[in-house]
Amino acid sequence: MSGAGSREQVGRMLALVPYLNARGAVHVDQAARDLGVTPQQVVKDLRVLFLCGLPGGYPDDLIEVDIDALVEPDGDRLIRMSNADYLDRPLRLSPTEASALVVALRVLRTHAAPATRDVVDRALLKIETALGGQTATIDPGEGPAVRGRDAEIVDTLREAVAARRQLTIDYHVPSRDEVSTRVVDPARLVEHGGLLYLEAWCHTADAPRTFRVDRVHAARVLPTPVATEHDEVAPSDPEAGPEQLFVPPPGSTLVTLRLDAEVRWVPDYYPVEAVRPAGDGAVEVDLRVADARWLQRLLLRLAPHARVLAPAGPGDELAERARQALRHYR
Amino acid sequence: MSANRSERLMKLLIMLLVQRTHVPKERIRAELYPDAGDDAFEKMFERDKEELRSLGVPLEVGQRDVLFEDEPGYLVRPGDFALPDVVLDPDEAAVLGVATQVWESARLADATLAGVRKLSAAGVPVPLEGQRHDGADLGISPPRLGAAEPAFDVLVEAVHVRCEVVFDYRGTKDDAPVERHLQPWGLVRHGGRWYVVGRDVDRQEERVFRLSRIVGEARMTGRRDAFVPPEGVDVGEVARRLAPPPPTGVPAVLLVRPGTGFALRRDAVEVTPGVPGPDGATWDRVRLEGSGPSVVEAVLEHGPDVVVEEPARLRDEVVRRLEALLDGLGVAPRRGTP
Repeated sequence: MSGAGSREQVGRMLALVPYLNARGAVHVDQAARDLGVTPQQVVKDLRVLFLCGLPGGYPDDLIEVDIDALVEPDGDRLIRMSNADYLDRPLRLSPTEASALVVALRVLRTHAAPATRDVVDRALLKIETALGGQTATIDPGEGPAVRGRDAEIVDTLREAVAARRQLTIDYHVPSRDEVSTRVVDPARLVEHGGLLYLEAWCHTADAPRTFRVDRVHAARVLPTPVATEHDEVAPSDPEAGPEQLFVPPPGSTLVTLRLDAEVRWVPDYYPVEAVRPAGDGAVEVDLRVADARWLQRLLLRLAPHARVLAPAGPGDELAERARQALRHYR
Repeated sequence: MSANRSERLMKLLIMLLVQRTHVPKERIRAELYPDAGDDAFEKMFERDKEELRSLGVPLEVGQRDVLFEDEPGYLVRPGDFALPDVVLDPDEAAVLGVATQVWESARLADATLAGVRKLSAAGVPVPLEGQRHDGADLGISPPRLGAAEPAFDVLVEAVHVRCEVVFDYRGTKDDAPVERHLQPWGLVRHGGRWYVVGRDVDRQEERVFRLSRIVGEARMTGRRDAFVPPEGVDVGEVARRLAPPPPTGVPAVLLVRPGTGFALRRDAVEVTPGVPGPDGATWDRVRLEGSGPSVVEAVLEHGPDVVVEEPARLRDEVVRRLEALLDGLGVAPRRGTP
């Protein structure tokens, strides 16, 4: 265990003592559940507490814990602690803990159904009062901008997630500029890079899919319950999180673009693999392209400030679309 | 060893918590660091104090005796140490349990859990791991709050301990990253991006930096409590003032080919189907609230499927950029008219 492990351990012990003081003898498994740690860790923490106490080091001054009851085969696994009255109140929250909790609640509030929003408000008020106004250091903002009709769609998606019911959605695929209708089992809404995504099992594709909520053009809750478990939809590695949204599909091509200074913000919004300065404020970027139509739309979007350096490909189609577009203005 | 270190930290805390007056450093040393040499003691003691403070322990430095000012003493006042009473109802506690699942950043997720654990210890039964639910019965789909920027955790820490930070930053106009020094006041999320607000030490001004433009790591530098943010500063307000959103422009009117332009239709305030299009066929007229920079790009992206009717400024901009694109491709823009 590292030094940081000690810090965490002390933090846990400072919660464990008041927890036990408030409850008397508690089964070790129950304590572990309530404090969000493993029973083994609770026993380890108690073994350290057992050595601590008032300065002076006389046996009477030490915190008492019946360790035998926890580790002996015939022990009843109840935690009995005494002689720790001076630690019977939990430590106040550190500024980071206070901010982290309050921000999490504020974010939760924006995602909650109206009835629950009220519960979150009550909890926030009590906690902010107890913390005494030291929580304004992190401002989570409004979350992804949800405009007009989007708000209704987001409400529908939330309702289906909460009720664990299937949904039918009209989904827009911009690289083809097409809308298709699918039946999905919604698992959760996640937020990444200012956008809201719906993680779901798509019955049309018969596979887990992540949908950008601002590309869902219509959504309707079905009477049928979802047919898949959340776990089937969950990213296999929770640490990886929504980064997985950008795992390049097999068969994609690595494309190198030159971006003029006017559009050097592109790497902030698109998943690029490398960025190199190219002089005069321009940059070269490498990115994975799975669909040539997507690249063509990107180049039009950034016109005339993005140019393909490699692989050498047909610029003809791009030129043809630009020419056709210009014809409409003449 | 870690268990020894945890034990020493606990003993140090208890020692300072149960005393009524400041405990002299020499007494602490004799009690808890008896075998350490001078340098080793100073180093260990500094680190231990830092650890306790980072847990939220209000460790106070003072003089035990005003006549011996060179003799510092330490104290933890029980009233400052303990969490005030918070009595939560069961549904409020359930909401706290869901809140522990919001942060994606491991550091902030741990901090939330530690905070909830403290509240829980005070008597509020908060459902945590092992009995976690996903909030469905509360009508919440717990959102995950991402902070993928590597500098995020360090900056959160620096904001809370009020420590200056140094980082390499590539602004929109910088060709190469430039080293910047900042006294961070707070973090703001806007449009899904995190920004740090504070006083730029080099430029002697309040500034906003976007975390995704920080190159490599941010590092804390110097001592903690090195500065005090302006009284009552609203970091969100500072960020909005210094980094205003792009202008939305005047309303725009577009012609959109049927079966295309779904993203534009979705943002429309009005769609009129069946109007004469630029090619003689029937198109749809789409009215948008604004004609700002993002609309130019959305129109360009659709190529020949979308045509700007109004305003003239937007029309000209689209034409100019398409012509410049053809120039860049080595194709004369006016060639190929049927």
